[in-house]
Amino acid sequence: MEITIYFSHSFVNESSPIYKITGNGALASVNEKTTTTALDMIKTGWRLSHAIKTSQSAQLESFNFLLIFEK
Amino acid sequence: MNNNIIYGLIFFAILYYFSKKKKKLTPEEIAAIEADRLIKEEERKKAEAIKEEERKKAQAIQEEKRKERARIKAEEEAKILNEMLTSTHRVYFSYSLVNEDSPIYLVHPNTNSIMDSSETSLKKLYVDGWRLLDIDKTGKSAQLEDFNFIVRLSKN
Repeated sequence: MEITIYFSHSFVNESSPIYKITGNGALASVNEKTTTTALDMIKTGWRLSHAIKTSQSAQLESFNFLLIFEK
Repeated sequence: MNNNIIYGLIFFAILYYFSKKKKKLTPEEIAAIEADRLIKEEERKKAEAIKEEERKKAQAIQEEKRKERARIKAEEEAKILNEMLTSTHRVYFSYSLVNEDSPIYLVHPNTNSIMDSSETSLKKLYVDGWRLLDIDKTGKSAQLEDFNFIVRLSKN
């Protein structure tokens, strides 16, 4: 089994853009080139196993999520 | 009367002059003073050297104690780590879990400190057959570098 982790600034539906984060710690940054969606991930065989809300905001546009996919 | 005062003053001036006049030293006396100075200098250097040696010894003892403490800690950590690594459930902590390669660490059960020697990543653990059971964000920060997480994994 494989694991991959994505981040979304606003994860509100299966078509919300999600991104890989490259680097770690202070060097971590969203890699816009890796943009995809949960729908596309599922189509390619990945399964969303965990979705963790990473910010406190209750506004849809700030629904930051860390998404963990397994295949 | 005035003359007596003047003579008196002259007398005391002469007396003062001779009392303050430096005695001219003979070459032997100069040599003796120089020898004395050298002996004192030598003693001072010896005392400094002894003090420096004692300081170095104390420092070496402290360093030895520190190494011994580090060795004991490493041994304990290795023992605990070995016990934890044989378990089928593990709990890891990450300072910043942002992708599958982010470093994650086991937490020392007695001290709640991070065991640096246990560093791994979710990707490596998945290759070894581990699966993610639960994941909890433990910090409130929304900054990527502060994505503190507790990760629970199991292996059949």
